[in-house]
Amino acid sequence: MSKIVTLSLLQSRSLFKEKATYLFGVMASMIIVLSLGLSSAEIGAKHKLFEDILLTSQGYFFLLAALFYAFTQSSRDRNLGLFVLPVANGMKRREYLVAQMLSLGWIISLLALLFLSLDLIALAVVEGRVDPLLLWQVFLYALSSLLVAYMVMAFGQYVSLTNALLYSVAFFVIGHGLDELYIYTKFVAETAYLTDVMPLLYYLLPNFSLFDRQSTIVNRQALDVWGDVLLPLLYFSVWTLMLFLAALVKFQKKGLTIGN
Amino acid sequence: MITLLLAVSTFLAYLAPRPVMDNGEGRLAYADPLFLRAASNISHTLLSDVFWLLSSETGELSGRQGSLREMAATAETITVMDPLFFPAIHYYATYMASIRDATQEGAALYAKAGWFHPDDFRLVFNEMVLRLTYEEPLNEERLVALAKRAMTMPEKMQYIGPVAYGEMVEGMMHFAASRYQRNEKKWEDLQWLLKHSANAKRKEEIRRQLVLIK
Repeated sequence: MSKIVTLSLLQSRSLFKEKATYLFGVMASMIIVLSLGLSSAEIGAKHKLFEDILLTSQGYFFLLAALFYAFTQSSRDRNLGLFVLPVANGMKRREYLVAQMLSLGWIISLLALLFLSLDLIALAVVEGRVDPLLLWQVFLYALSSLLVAYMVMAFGQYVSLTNALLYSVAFFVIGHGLDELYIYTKFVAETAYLTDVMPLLYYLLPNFSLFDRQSTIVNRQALDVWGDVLLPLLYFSVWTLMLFLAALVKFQKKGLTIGN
Repeated sequence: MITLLLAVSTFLAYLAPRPVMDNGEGRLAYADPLFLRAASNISHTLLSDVFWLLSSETGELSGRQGSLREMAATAETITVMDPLFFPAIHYYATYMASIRDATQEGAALYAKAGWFHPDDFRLVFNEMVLRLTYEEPLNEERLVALAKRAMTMPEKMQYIGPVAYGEMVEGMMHFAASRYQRNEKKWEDLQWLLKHSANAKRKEEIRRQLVLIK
């Protein structure tokens, strides 16, 4: 276990040193300054616009960061053969994959900590208090972006990294549209064919809309413990496990060589 | 993988809204709110704020008072983009019912918000109150269906307490039959609209309606 943690910390430290990390921090700070400028705009619900700008921008920053770090890590692994040394020295392949996933987890957690600290300051300044529910949404966005990072890692075992990146983004976009598709088939189209097809898509594709509780949170509605808290956590765990297994199947057969 | 993505994309393209000629009215953004919501990913709540700001403060609608159809499309878009944005939904529903005499369009906003939150008591209750206050003749079938739904919702206790179904229907019918009570509610609604309207033309419209009710 300590081998896995040590390797993951080493990998995440090396990812942290990328210049992009500072760029994400600077961009997040700039967005906060922008939203502070708009915080006085009255739209009928106090501070809603401010909170929407804050959460939406951070949601996209998380996604960008996840794609960047997953791509960087996988390309180093593939082009520099970073996995060869640990695996040749007795580390099990599944342990190496766990370490890779952990390192992505560390770096996204670090970014989440940075965003949460910035949010705490901004919310305290603008609203005079910090609503913990807003921080929950930041955490959910961090989870969903981590899932995207794991997708890049898993797909990257089978196809080129550029394709893996494209597929992951496509799944993210489609996965976020699944609740709208569900509403469409249930209330708008109301055809038997669509009603039959919909559950297949709803359960087969990664449903990223489960991680988007922004409307409930910024409108100060109560969170449902099952639907808004436990289900996203459970869903994240199940998909993480599935992606790990998918990556492992291919990674087990990979030769100890550098390059493709 | 490619085949799966292509299949999903083709299916989604099949669902995408078709272009419709509508005499130059409406905006591309309002073509199909559900599609726009899906396309806007996690920014749908932020876009709802933007549309609300544009429509109530600086937009074309407030300047030339737009057609009812355009207003209903804007309100529907805001509702679908953020179905819990109660100030905006309530404003448009009340405005369309009280000033534009369009109770069905107003009530439809609560129904559409309910697509995303079928267990939200306030959406059902607000639709009932709107229909009872403005609808003529009353759609009793719809009201009874709403009352039945409201009675099964756990949030009922929080808002109206331990009211039995029979009592609720009786209260509703009593309210609907009383011209005085309905006018009182209309008066309250108009005062609320006046307070929350920024546009001078719109305020003038509301004041005219207030005089008529008085």
